[in-house]
Amino acid sequence: MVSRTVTILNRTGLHARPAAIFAQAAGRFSATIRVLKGSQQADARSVLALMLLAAGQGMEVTIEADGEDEEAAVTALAAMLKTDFDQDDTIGAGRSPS
Amino acid sequence: MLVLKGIGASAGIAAGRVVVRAADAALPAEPPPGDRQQEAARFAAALAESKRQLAEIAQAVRRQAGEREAQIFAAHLAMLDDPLLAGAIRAYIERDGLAAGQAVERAVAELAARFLELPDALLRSRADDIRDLGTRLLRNLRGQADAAHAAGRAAGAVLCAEDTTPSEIASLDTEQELGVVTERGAVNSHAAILARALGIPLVIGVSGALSRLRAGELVIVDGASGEVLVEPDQETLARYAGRRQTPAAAAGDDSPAVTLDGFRVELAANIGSVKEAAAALAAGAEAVGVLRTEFLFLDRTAPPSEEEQFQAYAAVLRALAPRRVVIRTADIGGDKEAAYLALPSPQSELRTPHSTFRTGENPALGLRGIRLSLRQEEMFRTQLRALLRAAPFGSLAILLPMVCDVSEVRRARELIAHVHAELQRSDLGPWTRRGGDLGRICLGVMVETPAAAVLAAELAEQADFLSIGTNDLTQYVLAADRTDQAVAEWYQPLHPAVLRLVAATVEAANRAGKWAAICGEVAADPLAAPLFVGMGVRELSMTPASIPAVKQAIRRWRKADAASLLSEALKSKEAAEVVELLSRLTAD
Repeated sequence: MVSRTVTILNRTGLHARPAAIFAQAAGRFSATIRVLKGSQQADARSVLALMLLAAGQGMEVTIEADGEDEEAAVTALAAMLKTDFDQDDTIGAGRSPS
Repeated sequence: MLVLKGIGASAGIAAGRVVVRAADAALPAEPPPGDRQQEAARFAAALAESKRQLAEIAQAVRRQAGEREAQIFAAHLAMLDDPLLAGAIRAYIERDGLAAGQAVERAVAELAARFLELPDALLRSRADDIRDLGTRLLRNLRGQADAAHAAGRAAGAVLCAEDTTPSEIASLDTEQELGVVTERGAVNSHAAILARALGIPLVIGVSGALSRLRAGELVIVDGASGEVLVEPDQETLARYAGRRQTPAAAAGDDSPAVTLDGFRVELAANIGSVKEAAAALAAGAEAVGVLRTEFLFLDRTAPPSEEEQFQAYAAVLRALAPRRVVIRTADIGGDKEAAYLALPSPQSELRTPHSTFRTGENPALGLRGIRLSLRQEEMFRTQLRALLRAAPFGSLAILLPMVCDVSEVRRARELIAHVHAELQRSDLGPWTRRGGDLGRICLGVMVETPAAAVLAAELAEQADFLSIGTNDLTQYVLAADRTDQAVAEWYQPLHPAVLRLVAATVEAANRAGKWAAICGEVAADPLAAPLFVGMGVRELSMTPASIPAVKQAIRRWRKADAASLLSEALKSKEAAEVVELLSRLTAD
């Protein structure tokens, strides 16, 4: 099992859209992946569980993976939280040009 | 005529007859439950049908509103399939032997309750999305078509309900003149975002709406002011019908203000309280151009604590994120005095009579804005600390009022760097490290003294942006106190002397590669909009209600034409000439 602790730098934390993007990314690995915050833990493939962590910007979470591609999974997902991976989080801010 | 007050969540006017939708009404009864296998199969069918419907809605919303709004339903699809929702429902059926409907009700209620306990308002509002999904599942389980809200589709109807959902808003026919009035809701909810994108007037938070409005009553819904007018008289109806014609198309329209030849002007809101953040969003503001922080400092006996300020700044930043919020440091003094500042304080020079700002004969020229902040350094540091702590919640820019030259900007930067370093060493360090990164926080200068306008090029070198406060600039340039009725005719924001200073300031900012904004009342004047376009102003900041009209004015112009209009206006010898020129050219 591999685990890594990271500080969330995404501006909106793991809210709806970022959680969906994160869960989708987690789904690409075969390892079982959990996200831990304090005493809570969430299945990384569950958008709702991720949102229930209420993990905002500046908070620390631990990513744990168990399985064949555990190292790759933890590295990729931890790197994601360290960037503004959902930069264009502006629902309602604009219509598509069409 | 009865007027109900709520919160305007999506601008626009709708007039029509009330259609009441009682909470969870019109769901047919659950059929008698079958065995576990049958119930599991019924749920599987309802789930598949719900997913099909959501995909269809996402398609329709993508066409009518845009990709971002369609994402709301893509997110609903993901939530529906989640182990905590679909998974929990299956477990209740297969493991506990519940009927499918009961299993849905229980899983939705439990999950919504967990979301409602979260500390973050935005996350709490996801409970509404989950209930929305639950209602859809139940409707499909009981074989009811998606046209459950057909009642609301009668021509000219105004839907009145306890609360609304993204699904319901998406199902309304925008071809009809429809409005929605609810007792509950949030300005940031997905339902409200969607209403704004689709241009459906929405007023939320009307307490007792369901008991005070009767089906069939004629109402006018004003989604900008948050008013619901019950059984209006002919005159009121005519007045609102007139208003509906003009800015209604642009109201609730979140798309940017772009000239015919592609020059984009950001339209921002001036706000003076945490509450007004909602109005700014509802009016389609792309940013907050000025958050005046005086509301925290006035009408009290002691200055606000760091914690109180932090809470207020964080709330506004969070409500507007990811939009930029320009927060202006305290501009007390002048006509806005705070009694506690005149109290004797050990290190202050305020006790000497000639420098006590509140006893000055001419407060507009007294110890105010950045001058007072630099004198009352402890109070200023407290405000800066609160601002830096709040920065991670959104996109913060700091604006300094009443600047005369670069020395004040340099001193403010030093203090910011100081406070930042202090925070880094404190236990708040890890939290502020990113949001409080000095590289990310823009520092801007208000250009409102003639000195600042004349020295705009030098200020633009030191600052990240210039925000031109035309109200004070006008009163200083024309020496006309704007609170004195006797000199009101001399107070002319479109006076060529003011316009030339404004144009020179914008030019200096553009040349330095910094952005210039206009944040006085004249920014809200659609007549003056082409002048600012001609100058190459990047942002106009105004009271939220004016945004739709200014947006329409900008869209009628080409930047090149606006530039020639501007050069004409700058040649004028008096304000009347400018006004005449503008009225003539915008008439046709």
